[in-house]
Amino acid sequence: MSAKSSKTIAEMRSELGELLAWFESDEFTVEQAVEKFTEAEKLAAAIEHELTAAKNTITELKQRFDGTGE
Amino acid sequence: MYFINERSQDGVVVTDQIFSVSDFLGVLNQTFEMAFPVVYVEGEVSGFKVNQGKWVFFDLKDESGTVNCFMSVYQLRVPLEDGMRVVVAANPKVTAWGKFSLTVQQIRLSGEGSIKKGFELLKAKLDKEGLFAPERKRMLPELPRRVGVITSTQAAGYADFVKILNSRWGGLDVQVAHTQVQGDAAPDQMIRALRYFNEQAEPVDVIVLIRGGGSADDLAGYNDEKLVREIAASRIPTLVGVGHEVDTSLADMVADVRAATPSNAAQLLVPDKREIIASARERVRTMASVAERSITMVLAETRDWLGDALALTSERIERMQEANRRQLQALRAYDPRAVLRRGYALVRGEVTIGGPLEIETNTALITAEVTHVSKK
Repeated sequence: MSAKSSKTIAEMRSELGELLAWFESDEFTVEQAVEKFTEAEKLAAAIEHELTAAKNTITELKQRFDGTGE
Repeated sequence: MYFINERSQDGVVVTDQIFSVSDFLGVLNQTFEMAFPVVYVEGEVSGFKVNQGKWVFFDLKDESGTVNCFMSVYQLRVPLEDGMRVVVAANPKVTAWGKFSLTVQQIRLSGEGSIKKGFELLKAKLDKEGLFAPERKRMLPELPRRVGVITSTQAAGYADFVKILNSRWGGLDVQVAHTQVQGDAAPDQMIRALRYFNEQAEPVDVIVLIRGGGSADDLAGYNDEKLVREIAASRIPTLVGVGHEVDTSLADMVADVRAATPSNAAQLLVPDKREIIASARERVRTMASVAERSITMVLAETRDWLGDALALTSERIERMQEANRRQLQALRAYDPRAVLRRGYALVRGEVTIGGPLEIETNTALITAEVTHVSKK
């Protein structure tokens, strides 16, 4: 998954955690495993892509704090 | 208002100004104001007292002189005790009663001993109020998106912070409030910046106060009582990283999370993306391994079931074969040819005198005739 995801990294990590929990739960079925695994692979790739591509935006505020005016 | 007095001195007319007392004091204060708009004086505090909870009086002295000082409690930003060394920023004035004093605008502790003493006094006071209590501490958001930073953008500590932050995480919206981080004006500037971030309609997720290392005097602003209280009152979680690892400020102690240095603040603020990527990959690997294990188990189970079915079928076949064998043996026991082979003979015919008989042995068929019949 290389396209930019609309989900946040925190959301994607949370979903990945839920998928892992499913794999380790009694709900696991071999039939559903392939679909879930594919989903997990896409999430992991999206997390990696987002983290590698994203840059921080650092803005120095114009607001003055020396008491001489805003 | 003053009067002119003219007199002759050595044939020259000299004009003297004659003041009223209050005018003289007024002129004197004007002169002081022009000569010393602000004067900085260092000395030792003596006779410290607070009147009516509003006014502070003390003397500032050295080995050979003493000067009276006056200020409002509101302006007193450091804990004061007799014997402490301070630097005051003040306006020299003569009161209406002719008493000379310094009207203090700002006061700061001076010298290692006084700074340490002031630190301990304020620490004890704030600790008693519960400002440092662990139960007050809030967790920082695991993955903040918007961060407010209060620092001097020229400081080396800030550059370290940005460098580490950029290497560890991306996608952050970082807003930087440039303030002084040392000197008398620093605490008020940082207070204004804290208020700015707290008053925004769309607040940041965390406020970070950082500053690189320096002398105790350089870092003294972070022990300012008002600043410490403002940090404690922040509705946004705070992270403070001031100085080096060995430096401890009251701002550190009151913050929700204390970082040892500005670099450490960046480390505590966001996780390392390399670790997150590795963790995501590891999760997928774990899933693959769970799926593989499960499929292997299903296959093994299926094989086991087939094996069991095969074994049961074989067992049943064997049991049927055994039963067959036994039935055959039983049948063989009833076979008349077996009796003949043991030497017996089979006699057929009517038992009447002169009647024909057929005698069958193992090896021959004999025809005979009944000649005598007697009862046994």
